[in-house]
Amino acid sequence: MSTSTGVINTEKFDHKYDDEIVKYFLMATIIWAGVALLLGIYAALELANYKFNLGLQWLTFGRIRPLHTNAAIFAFGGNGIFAGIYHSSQRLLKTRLFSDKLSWFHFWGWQLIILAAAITLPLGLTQGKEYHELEWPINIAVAIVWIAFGINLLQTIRRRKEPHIYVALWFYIATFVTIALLYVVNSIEIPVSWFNSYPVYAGVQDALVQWWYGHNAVAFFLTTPFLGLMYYYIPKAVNKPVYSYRLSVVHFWSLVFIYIWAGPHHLLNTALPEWAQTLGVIFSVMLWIPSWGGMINGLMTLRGSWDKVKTDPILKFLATGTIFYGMSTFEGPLLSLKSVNEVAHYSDWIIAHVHGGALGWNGFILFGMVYYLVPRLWKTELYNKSLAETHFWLGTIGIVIYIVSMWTAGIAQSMMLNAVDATGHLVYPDFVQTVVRIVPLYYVRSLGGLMYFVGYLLMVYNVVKTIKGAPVALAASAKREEANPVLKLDTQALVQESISEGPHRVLEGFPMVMTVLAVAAVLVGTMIELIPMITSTNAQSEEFAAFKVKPLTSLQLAGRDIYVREGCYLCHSQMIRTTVGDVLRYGPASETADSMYDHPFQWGSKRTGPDLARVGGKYPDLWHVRHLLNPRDIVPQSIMPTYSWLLEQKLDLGTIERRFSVLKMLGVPYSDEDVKNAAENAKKDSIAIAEDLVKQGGPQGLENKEITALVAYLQSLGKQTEKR
Amino acid sequence: MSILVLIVPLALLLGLFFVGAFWWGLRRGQYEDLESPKHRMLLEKD
Amino acid sequence: MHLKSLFMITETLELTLCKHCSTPVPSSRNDFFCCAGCKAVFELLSTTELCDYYEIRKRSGTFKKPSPVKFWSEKGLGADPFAYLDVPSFRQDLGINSDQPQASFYLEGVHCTACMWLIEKLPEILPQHVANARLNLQQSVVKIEFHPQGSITETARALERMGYSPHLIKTPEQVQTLEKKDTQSFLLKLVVAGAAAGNIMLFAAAIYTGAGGWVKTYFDWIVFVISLPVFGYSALPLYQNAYHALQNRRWSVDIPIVIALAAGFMVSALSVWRGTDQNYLDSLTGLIFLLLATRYLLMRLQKNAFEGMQFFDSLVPVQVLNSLGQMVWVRDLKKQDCIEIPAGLTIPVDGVIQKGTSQINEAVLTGESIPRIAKVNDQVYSGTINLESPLWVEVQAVADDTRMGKILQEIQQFDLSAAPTVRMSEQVAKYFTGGVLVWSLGLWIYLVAEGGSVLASFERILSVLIVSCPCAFAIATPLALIQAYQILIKKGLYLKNPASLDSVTPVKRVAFDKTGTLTLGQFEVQHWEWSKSISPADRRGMMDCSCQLEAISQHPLSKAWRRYGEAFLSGITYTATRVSHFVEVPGNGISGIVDGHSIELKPSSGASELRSNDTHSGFTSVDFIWNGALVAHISFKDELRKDIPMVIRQLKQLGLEVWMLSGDQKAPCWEVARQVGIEDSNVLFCLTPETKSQWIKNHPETLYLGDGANDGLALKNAHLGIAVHGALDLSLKAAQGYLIQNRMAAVLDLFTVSSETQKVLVRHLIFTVVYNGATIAIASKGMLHPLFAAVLMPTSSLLVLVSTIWGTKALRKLKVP
Repeated sequence: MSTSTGVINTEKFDHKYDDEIVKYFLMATIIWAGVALLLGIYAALELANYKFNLGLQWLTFGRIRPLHTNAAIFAFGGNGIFAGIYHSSQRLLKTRLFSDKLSWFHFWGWQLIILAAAITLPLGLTQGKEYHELEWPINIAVAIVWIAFGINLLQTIRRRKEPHIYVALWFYIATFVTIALLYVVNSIEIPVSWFNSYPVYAGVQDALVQWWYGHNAVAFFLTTPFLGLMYYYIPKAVNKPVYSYRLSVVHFWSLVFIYIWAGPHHLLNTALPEWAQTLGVIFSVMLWIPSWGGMINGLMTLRGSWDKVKTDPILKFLATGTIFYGMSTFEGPLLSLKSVNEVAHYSDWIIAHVHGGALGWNGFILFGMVYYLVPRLWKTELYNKSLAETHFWLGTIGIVIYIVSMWTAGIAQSMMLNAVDATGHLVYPDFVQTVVRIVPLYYVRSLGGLMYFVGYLLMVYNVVKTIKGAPVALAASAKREEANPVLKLDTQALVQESISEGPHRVLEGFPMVMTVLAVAAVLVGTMIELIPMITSTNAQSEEFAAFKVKPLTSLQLAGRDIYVREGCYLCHSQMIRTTVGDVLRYGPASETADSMYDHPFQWGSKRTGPDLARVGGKYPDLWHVRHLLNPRDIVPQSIMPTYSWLLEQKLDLGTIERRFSVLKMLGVPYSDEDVKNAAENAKKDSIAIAEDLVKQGGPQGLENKEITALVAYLQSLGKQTEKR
Repeated sequence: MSILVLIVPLALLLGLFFVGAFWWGLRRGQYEDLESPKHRMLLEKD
Repeated sequence: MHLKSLFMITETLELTLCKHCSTPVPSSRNDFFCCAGCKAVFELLSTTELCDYYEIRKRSGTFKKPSPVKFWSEKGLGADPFAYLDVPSFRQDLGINSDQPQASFYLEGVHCTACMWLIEKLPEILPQHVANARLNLQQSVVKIEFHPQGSITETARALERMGYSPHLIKTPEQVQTLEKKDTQSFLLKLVVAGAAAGNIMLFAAAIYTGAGGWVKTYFDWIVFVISLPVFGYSALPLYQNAYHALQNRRWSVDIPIVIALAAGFMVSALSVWRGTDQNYLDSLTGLIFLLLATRYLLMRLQKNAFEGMQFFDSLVPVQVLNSLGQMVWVRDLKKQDCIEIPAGLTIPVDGVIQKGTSQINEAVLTGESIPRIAKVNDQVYSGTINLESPLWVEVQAVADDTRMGKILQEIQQFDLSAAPTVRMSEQVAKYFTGGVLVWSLGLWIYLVAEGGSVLASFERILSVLIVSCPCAFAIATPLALIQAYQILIKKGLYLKNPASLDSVTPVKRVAFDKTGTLTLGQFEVQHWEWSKSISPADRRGMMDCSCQLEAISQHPLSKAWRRYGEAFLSGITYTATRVSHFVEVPGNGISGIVDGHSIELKPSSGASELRSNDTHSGFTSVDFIWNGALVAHISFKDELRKDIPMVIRQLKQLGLEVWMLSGDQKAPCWEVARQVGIEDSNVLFCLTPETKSQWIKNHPETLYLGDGANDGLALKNAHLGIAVHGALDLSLKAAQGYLIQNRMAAVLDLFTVSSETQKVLVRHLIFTVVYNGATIAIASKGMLHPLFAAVLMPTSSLLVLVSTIWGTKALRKLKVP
C-alpha cells in the first residue's frame, strides 16, 4: 500500500476490519442464547413436575439436559467468544482477519454442528459423557472447524501490524491450543455404527480422562477466552487502561504452565485412588490464586470510574460478570475440599456453582459485549438504555434466586441423606423423602431462570430496534466496503510479504501451518495405537487382579446402550462413595473393578434419583417394568418421567455383533463365539425375561422389546464383581 | 490408573509448548515494555 | 499542579485557562494561551486532523511521570539545535544504517495517553520522513523508524513544535541490546525453573499422599526428567557465581547452596534409580526457583536505580561550524581541523586559537568565575564558554580525550564495594558460609560416628546447608545503599558514589562557604553614596560612562552595577567604541577611558571620608574614581538563600556544629552569619583556598558545602564535600556530592537518610542472626525436612528484600516526590 507524499493518506491507517463475520457470530450468539435459556427453563420445569416430559421420549429430561448444556456452552458461549475474539483481535493486531474463506467456513461449520447436535441429542444418539455427548462424526466436524478457527487466529497474529501481542490474544491462543488437545484426547472412540461409538477408555480411566476434559472445557472454553474478552472490553468500555498489565501477564503464564491436575476434583470420595483425589484438591485450591488475579485486575480497572458503572449498563454487566467470576472461582476450590465435597457432590449445590459461573460470568460478559458491539458495528446508538438497565437487574436477581434456591436444595438434601440417628440408622432411608422436600425449590429455580430469560428477551427487543434504527446508508456502504475483493489480495500479499521480509518470515509461512497439522496428525495416530495397548493390558494390571469381573451379556449390553441413550446417568449415579451416608444407604463402596469394562463409564455427576451401583437383584423384574412404565405407581411422589416407549419399541440387535467385536478389541474378555452368536443369546435371554414377567403377572408380549434389555442391565448392576 | 501413561506426558507436552511460546515471546521482545500496550490498546478506534 | 486546585484558583481570580496546557492565564490577555509554545502546538493540532487530541486527553486521566533529572537541552546552542542530526558522518558513527534508519529520543513532557496517541501519529504528520514511531511510556523514549531518505532533523523539529523537546539517546544500540539480552536469559531461566518446580511439586505431592507401586516409580522418573533442565540450565548463574568466587579464592553465598544442590541431586538420582524414597528433587528445584526469583527482583531494583544516570552523557556540546561553514558533528572533527566558535557558544574541543580574541569563562575547569581574555595561539579547553566575539580554533583533542572528557569518564564509574559497610558485610558473609560448611561437615561425621546411616543423616546436612542464608549481608546491604542513593537523587542531591553514604555517620560539624553557598552569589547594589560636590547632571553622565565600562567586564559586580545604572537612567544604549584602554585585573577592579574621561572602579581600601559614615559597613564596597577623584562609594549586598536559616537551625538541633569559611572580608561575613544564625566564633574570613583546606584537614569529621567552581581544593580534602553549584563535572572531580536543585534542605535529607539506612541495616543484622541461629539449630536436630528448608531460606531473603524496600517511616516519607 504505497503512500502518496504530502497528502496524509488515511486509507493506509484506516484498517479494513472484517466486521461482517462479527455481526453474524453476534446474531448467532443472541439466537442460540435464547434456545439455551428456553431449554434450561424447560428442563427445570421437567424436574419440578414430571408432566412437563409429556411422556414423549424426545422431550424427557435425560435427552433435553445434554441439549441444554451443549447449547449453553458451545452454541451460546462458543458463538459469543468467536464474535468477541474476531472483533477484538482485529483491533488489537491492527489487521484484517487472515482469510475470509476460513472465517465463513468456521461460522457455517459451527452452526451446522449445533444443528446436528439439536437433531442427534433428542434422538438419544449420545456418547454418555458429560459436555462431550456428541457422537463421533460430529466430533470430527468439531475438530476440523476448531482447527480452521485456530489457523485463522494464528495466521492473523502472524500478519499483525502491531508488534506487541496484547494479553487478551495470549488467552485466545491458550484457548485454541488446550481445547484442541483436550477435545481430541477425550474423543478417542471406536465407531460402532453411523451414530454410535464406544470410547477406548473404560471405568476409572474414562472417568479421569472425561473429567480432565470436563474441567478444562469449563476452564479453557468458559474462562480463558472470557478473561481475554474481559481484558479487552472492560478497558475499552471504561476507556481506562487495565489496572496492572504486568499482573495480567504473570497470572496468564502461571496458569498455563502447570495445567494438568484439575480433573480429579469431580471424583472426590469415589473409587479414584486416594492420592489422585488429594492431588485434585491441592491443584484446585492453587487455581484460586490466578483466577482471583484475573478478577482483581478486571475490577481494579474500574477504580475511579465506578460512577460510570452507575450509569452505563455495559459496565454494569462487565463488572458484575467479573464479580460472579470471582464468586464461582472461590466456590470451586471450596467445593473441592473433601469434607465440603462430601455434602456437595451429586447434589444441587454443584448446579448452583455451575450456574453462578455460566449465567453470571459467561452470560453477563457476553451480554455486556453485545450491548458494546451492536451500536459500534451498526454505527448507531443503543435503542433504549433503561431497557438494558432492567435487563441487568432482572438478570442479576434471576441468578441470585437460581443460586440461592439450588444452594438450599443441595445442602438440605445432602444433610437429610447423610443424617444418621443415635442408633446408627439412616433418618431418611427412602431417597424420595428428600426429593419431596426440595421439589418446591425446583419451582423457585425455574422462576429465577425465567427472570433471566425475560431479561434476555428485553435485550433481543433492544438489539432488534437498534439495528432497525441504524442509518440505512451507512449499513449499505458498510456492505460495499466489505465486499471489495480482499480475498485475491490476501494470498498474494501473504506470499509477497513473506518473501520481502527475509527467510525468517518464509519459514513461518505455509510450512509452519503444515508442520503443526502434521504433528497433530502424528499425535492422534500414535494415540490410536498406544491406547488400545494400554487399555488391553488394563485387565491384567495388578489393582484389578484381586477381582474376577464378569463382562455383560449381549442383552445386558443392549440394555446399557439404552441406559446411555435415555441419559439415565444424568439423574442416577453408579458410584457408591466411601462416605458413611452412601455406604449405609447403598451398600459397600464401589470398587474401580466394578466399572472396569464400562465403555463409557456411567458414574454420573448428579443424584436427582438414588444411586444404582448395587440395584441389581434388589427389586424383581416386574417392579422395574411397572416403575419404568409409570414411576408413580411404585413411588407416588416420584418426579421421574415415564418411559412407556421402552415397552413398545423392538430391540435393535442389528449392530450387537459389531459392538461385541469392538469391545473385545478394547480388552473386554469376550470369546469368539460370544461375539458370533451375540444376537441369538440376546433374543434367548429377552424371551426368558418376558416369560418370567408374564409368570409374575406382568404385561404380555414384551419379547424382544427394549424393556427386557434395560431390565437385564439394571439387574446386572453390582452383580458383576466377586473377590477372587 | 494406567491412563496416566497417556495424560501426564500430554499435559507436560502442553506445558512445554507454553514454555516454548513464552521463549518465543521473550525473543520477539514482547516483554520489553509492559507499560505502553495497555494505553495503546485504547487508541485503536473501534 | 493538580487540576482540582487549578479550578479553585480560577473561581476566585476569574482567570481563563490556556487552551492547550490549561494553566491559568490572566484574562487581560485576549489570546487564551499561556505561551507561544502552547499557541503553536494548538494551531498545529487544529490544522491537521489531529484535533481529537484534546478529546482523547479529556477522557484519559493524566499519567504523571517525573522526568529523571532536569538537564541542559541543546536549545541554547545557536540557530538550529538539530541540524547535526542529518549529517551523514554523524549517522554512520551512531550505527544508523542508511536503508532502514532508526533513532530513539528521550522526550520531555510526555504525560498521558493523548501524548502517546499524538507521538505515534508521527507517520501521519510527516509521511515522507517517518515510517513508524513507537513510544515507551515508562521511559518516555520514542523509537522512530525513518524512510531511507527521511530527515531526522525535520522529525526532531516536529517533536519540538509539538511541545516534547527531544534528546537523542546516544548510548549506541549494542550496549542496550547486550544488557537486554542477559536480563532476558535470566528471566527465561527463572521461568523454566518455575514451570518445572510447579509440575514437580504436583508429582511429589502425589507420592507424598500415597501413590504407590508402578505409579510411584513412573512419577519418580518424570520428576527426575523434568528436574534436569532446572539443574542443567536454570541454576547456571548459581554455579557461575560459586565458580568465580572459588577461582579468585573469595567466599560467596552461593557456595553452600551449590554444594547442597549437587549432593542433593546425586542422592535423589540414586534414590530414583533404586526406588527408595529419598527424592529431594522437589525441594531442590523449588529452592532454585525461589532463589532465582529473589535475584531477579534484586536485579530489577538495581537496574532502575541507574536508569536516571544514562542521560548525563548528553552534556558534552556536540555541534559546531567548521571552516567551510557547514554544521559538523564534533566527534567527526580530526586534528588540525579549523572550526569557528561564535560568541556565547561552549567550546566543544581542546585546541589553539588561530584568529580572533575574546573573553572565555573557564569556571568549569579552573573555578575562576572572572572571564579570561584569550588571544591568538592561546590554549582553549572544551567545556569553557566563549563570551565576547567569534574565535577560530585549530582542533587538538576531541570528545573523550579532551580534558573535560577525561573528567567525565572518571566520574561515571563508581563501585559499591568501596563503602566500608558493604565490605564489612561481605567479610561477615564469608566467615558465615565458611562456618556453616565446617559445622555441617562436623555434624555429618559426628552422626555417622554415632552409628546413623550415611544417607539418613545426609538429609539433616542437606537441610542445614539449604536453610542457612546470610542474605541480609549479601543482598540487603548494597540494596539499602542504592535505595538511599535513589531517594537522595529525588531530593536533588546527587552522590558520586553511594558508598559515600557511610562517611555521613561520623560527621560532627558542617562548614559552609559564604559566596555562592549561603548566598546566591548575585550581587545587588545596596547603597550608592555620591560625594556632595557632584551635581545631579554630572551624576547622570558619570553613571552612563561607568555602565559602558562595566558592560565589558563579566564580573558579577559589574552585572549588578549595570542593573542599577539601567534602573537609575531608565535604559542605556551600550556602544563599545566609546570605551578604550580597558584593563581588568582579577581581584582589584577595572579601569578605562570613556569619552575621554578616565574611570577607575576598584574595591575600597582603607578609610576614606565616604567610608567612615557608611552605615552598611558589612558589605563589599567599591570606590568610583572619575578622572582621579573619588566621586562615589558603592556597597553591594549578596542575596541570601531562602531556606538557609531553617536548614542551619535544624542542623544545630541534630547536635552538629555549624561553621562558615569564606574568602570575603570580615564585615560581610559577620553580616551574613548574623542573618543566618551562625555564632561569630564559628566564622572564619579572609581565607585563601589553601588556608581553608588546611583548616578542614585538621577538623576531619566535617561536611563541607562549597561552590564547586572555585572551592575545588577545600572540597577535595573535606571528609565529605558537597558542591552547591558551578559546573557539575568539575565539582564532582573534587566533591562527593552535587546539589542538582538549589534546595539546601537536601543536606538535612542526607543526614536523615543516612541514619535511617543504618537503622535498616541493624534490623537486618538482628533478623539474620536470629533466623540462622534458630533454623540451623532445628535443622541440625533433624526436625527440618529439606522441603521446608527450601521454602524457608528464599522466604527469609525475600523478607529481607521487602524490609529493605519498606525501609523506615522516615524513609518512606522522603520517598513521596
